[in-house]
Parts: sequence; C-alpha cells; structure tokens
Amino acid sequence: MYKYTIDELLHLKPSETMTPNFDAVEFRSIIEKVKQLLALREEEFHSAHPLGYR
Amino acid sequence: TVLTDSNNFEVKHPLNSKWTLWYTKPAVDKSESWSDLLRPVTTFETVEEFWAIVQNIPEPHELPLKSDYHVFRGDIRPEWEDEANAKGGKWSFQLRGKGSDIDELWLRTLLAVIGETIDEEDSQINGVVLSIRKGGNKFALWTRSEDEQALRNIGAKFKQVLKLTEDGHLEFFPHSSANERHAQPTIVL
Ligand SMILES: [Zn+2]
Ligand SMILES: [Zn+2]
Repeated sequence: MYKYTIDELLHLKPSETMTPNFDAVEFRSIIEKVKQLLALREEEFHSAHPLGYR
Repeated sequence: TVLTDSNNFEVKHPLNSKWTLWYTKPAVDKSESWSDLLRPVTTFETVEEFWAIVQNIPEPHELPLKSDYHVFRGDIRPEWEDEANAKGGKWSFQLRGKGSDIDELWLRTLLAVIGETIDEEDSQINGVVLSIRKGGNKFALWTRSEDEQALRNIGAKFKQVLKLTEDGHLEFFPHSSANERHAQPTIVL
C-alpha cells in the first residue's frame, strides 16, 4: 500500500507552478464566468429593490 | 517508492489509488439539470499530478456559492446512489466563522485521503466533498460501509486532520437517510 503522511506530501510540493494534466485555463474561465453572472444578478436585484433584503 | 519516467527521468510518486476530481457548477439558469452541473474535471494517480492540479484550480475561498469539489476513488461517482456509496455514509464537518483557514483544512483533508493516512489498510474511504454554501461551508468524508468500529477510527483521525479540539463537530450520516428532511447523525464525535 502506498501511504504518505501529510508532511511527506507537503514536502513533495513543487516550488514552481507546474502544468496540470488537463485544461485548467478553461476550467478557471468557466468558474470566472459563473462568478460574473452571479455578481451581475446581485447588482440587478439591488438596483431593482433598493430596500430589499437577501 | 518512486517510479521513473524513462522519457524524461522525472521521478513520480504513485498514489495508492487513481482519483477523480469532480466539480459541481452553481446553476445560472433554470434549464440546467443536475447532470449538466456535476462534471468530472480530471484524474490523477501520482503525487506530482495532484500538486500540479491543486496549483492550477481555484482554492476553496475563491469558489462561488453552491460549488462543490469532489475527489473520489477511481470511477466511483460522487452520488450516494452509486453502488460503492449506497451502503455507507459520510462524516460531515461544518466550518464555523469566517473560515479563513478553509483552504488549509481542505488541503490537509485531501492529503490525508490520497495519502491513505485517514484509514487503515483496505480503506473504507470512497471520497471527500467540499461544499461552498451561504449557510456554512462543509467537508464530507464518504465511506463505503457503516462499520461502526472503522467509522469511529476514521472520525478520530479526521478530527486530528481538522485540528478539532472540541467534541460535537463531526457527525456521521448514513446515505440511506440522505432524503430525510431532518436526518439525525448516528455517530457524533
Ligand atoms: Zn446581496
Ligand atoms: Zn520519495
């Protein structure tokens, strides 16, 4: 069985940022778009309901 | 133990299992179904692959509300109806307060899971879930059975990983009660 303690794994963390085995740029942009859309919704809600509660 | 990649002499440390990272995207419009929202992101089976992934994805505190990260063994789907999960349950931990240490605690949890230090040989652990919610962020450790002795051992180790000194913050819920409105935990540590 391959076991590694938390400390051993932290010790193996590279000092530079490595290239992952999938398209992380696309993944991050999906999340960014979601955040922008949700923030826009918040803004629209608050301007339509200036005294409204969330 | 190491594996050497003969192509470029890179040393790789194999994990005990292959793991899959899944992400649940918050719904932005009503046409999206659950299957649209829950997607596998990538798989990894070495320590090196794991770090490269973690370095390039948003940290917990950067995720929008109603996001989840799921890290599950092999092909096990992060759904309680998957046969690998159906007879088990989850150790659930709700983070309190501002949660400024959520990133560190999530990382520690992942490391304990993929490094197999959170359980014994023949691990009961199927996977781990991070849930970002307005009402409070949660971690859940999913097990394949309800073997009480094994669960108590896992729970005790999970407390250490989370640096919990007080009792009452870890609750075990069998998946069979997943659809109950006010499910009660069967074990609390
Ligand atoms: Zn608001
Ligand atoms: Zn080594």
